[in-house]
Amino acid sequence: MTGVPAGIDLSVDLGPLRLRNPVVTASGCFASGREMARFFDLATLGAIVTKSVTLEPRAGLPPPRMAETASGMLNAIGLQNPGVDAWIARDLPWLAAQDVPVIASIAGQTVDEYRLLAKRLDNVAGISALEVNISCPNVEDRGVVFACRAGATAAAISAVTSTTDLPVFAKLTPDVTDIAGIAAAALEAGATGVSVINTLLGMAIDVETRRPKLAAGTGGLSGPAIRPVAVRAVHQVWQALGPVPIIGIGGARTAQDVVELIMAGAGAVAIGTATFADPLAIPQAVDGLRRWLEDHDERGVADLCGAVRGPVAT
Amino acid sequence: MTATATATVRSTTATLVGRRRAAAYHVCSFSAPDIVAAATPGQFVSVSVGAPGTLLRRPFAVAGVDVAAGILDLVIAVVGEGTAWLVGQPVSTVLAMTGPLGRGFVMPVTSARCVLVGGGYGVAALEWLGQLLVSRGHVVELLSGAATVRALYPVSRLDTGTASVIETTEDGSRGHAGLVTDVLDERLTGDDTAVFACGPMPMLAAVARIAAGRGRPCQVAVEEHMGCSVGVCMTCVVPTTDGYTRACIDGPVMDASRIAWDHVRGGSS
Repeated sequence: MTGVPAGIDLSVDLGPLRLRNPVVTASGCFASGREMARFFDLATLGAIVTKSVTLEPRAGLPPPRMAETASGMLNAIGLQNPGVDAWIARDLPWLAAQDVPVIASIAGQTVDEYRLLAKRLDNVAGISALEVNISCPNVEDRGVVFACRAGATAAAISAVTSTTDLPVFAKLTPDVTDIAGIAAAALEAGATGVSVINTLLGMAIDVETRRPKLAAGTGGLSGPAIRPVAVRAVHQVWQALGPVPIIGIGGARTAQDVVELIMAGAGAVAIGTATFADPLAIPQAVDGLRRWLEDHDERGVADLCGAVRGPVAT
Repeated sequence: MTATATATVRSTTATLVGRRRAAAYHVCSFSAPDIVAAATPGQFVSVSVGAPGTLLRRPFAVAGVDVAAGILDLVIAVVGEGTAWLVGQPVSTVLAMTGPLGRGFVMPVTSARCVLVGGGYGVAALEWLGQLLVSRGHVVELLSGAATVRALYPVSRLDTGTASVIETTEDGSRGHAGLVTDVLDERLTGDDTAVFACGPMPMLAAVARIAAGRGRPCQVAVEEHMGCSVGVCMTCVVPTTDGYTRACIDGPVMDASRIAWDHVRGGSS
């Protein structure tokens, strides 16, 4: 890794977490971590947010699971994962040895499952925080997307925060009328911060066969196409709730994209789909961020958090 | 540990150094010495494309290499915007390329009669495999099938003095009229026969069934839509006896007996 010039500080505080830089992985976009360690040193990262684990192993949805769309992609993986116990035994020890904070993502179908997952991961060495995925769009019943309702959000988050002292980030969906209201419910339930946003529920149809392009019919939209939605959602939460820890997620690829989400109010920024398009997207964004700060005579990335100005007056 | 199967993988750039047509296909040659040095038949690369609105790289099997020159060939069928853009690029275009990716074919350790079964441009990777098998003293028979003559991949580098090539077309426009699998069973009589296949999944399912019926070992290079090509997006999964597994990491070449063919689209008998 190239050194950071004196006077440039990439570190950020995300609640009680200090990250060496604000660029983290988006959940579900980094597999076990070993796959990407073939391409770069994971200590380049601010943190690793892991793929969501569930109480029991999940086989996931049948293929086709992905469809490329205009400047984006739809996915319907269905939370394929080995289950929390196998993840703790097989993947976590390796991740914990990588000199990078690990934020473990958990997904449940009931409030009790969230509580049991939090209990299972509490006091497990190598975990710095939990991200509570209450917004995966690829579930059979949209009624169990907790993050669509403030009450269900509070119930799921309370189950976690009353079970563990780990910092907790609630991952929210943009598919709601008032995301700031949902974020407020998560914070009132004890969340340290929020992760904004999960994918948007979408659909693509093959007009020749007249069938959905995904076996599941619908899927989650990600990639550059959703970045303006993420910037908007982060900024709405920031404006409504003040300086709360926000992990900004949605379509970021370059250092400029990272800066944009930080200016909207994010304390850290997750890169996800960009890694699918280029395995080196994250280290390049970190290098680019340092150069961006140099070029703009900025000393610390933390100073840019929420630094967006008001619209140009007419 | 599966994720280190391709520890020599590189995310680098490659320069387009040549283009030619081969029947319905485009053969694009790239200078990519680091990737060429490590690649084996059955492995693949992912290539960036610049078509407006596209996002993801496109995966292609390595169809052959010139190790001394550091050049690899990709055989491309135009199926969408990305592949159309790719075959329209001029020589000297520089693209991002990651590879070699995935697991390639495992070479037989003892002297074997190798029956290679390819559908369409899947034959390209098998031609390279066939060259290596011949050079190691194995007997090679290549069965090349397609719907029609224009979709048959033109085999040119396999020495027909040492390897035999049998062509089939569904419409009878060239070679045996019918499916490539029609002529497979009768060629699997020897105890030392091993099967290697590359092509569409329904063809692979039929090949696997015939090989299993004769009790012959069979490796197949599976075909499934890919997202990232490097093991992190979980798109390219294939149903196996152990559940869904990633074609890009655990494949694309897999032992046919591992695959749950009844759960593959178009794979049931």
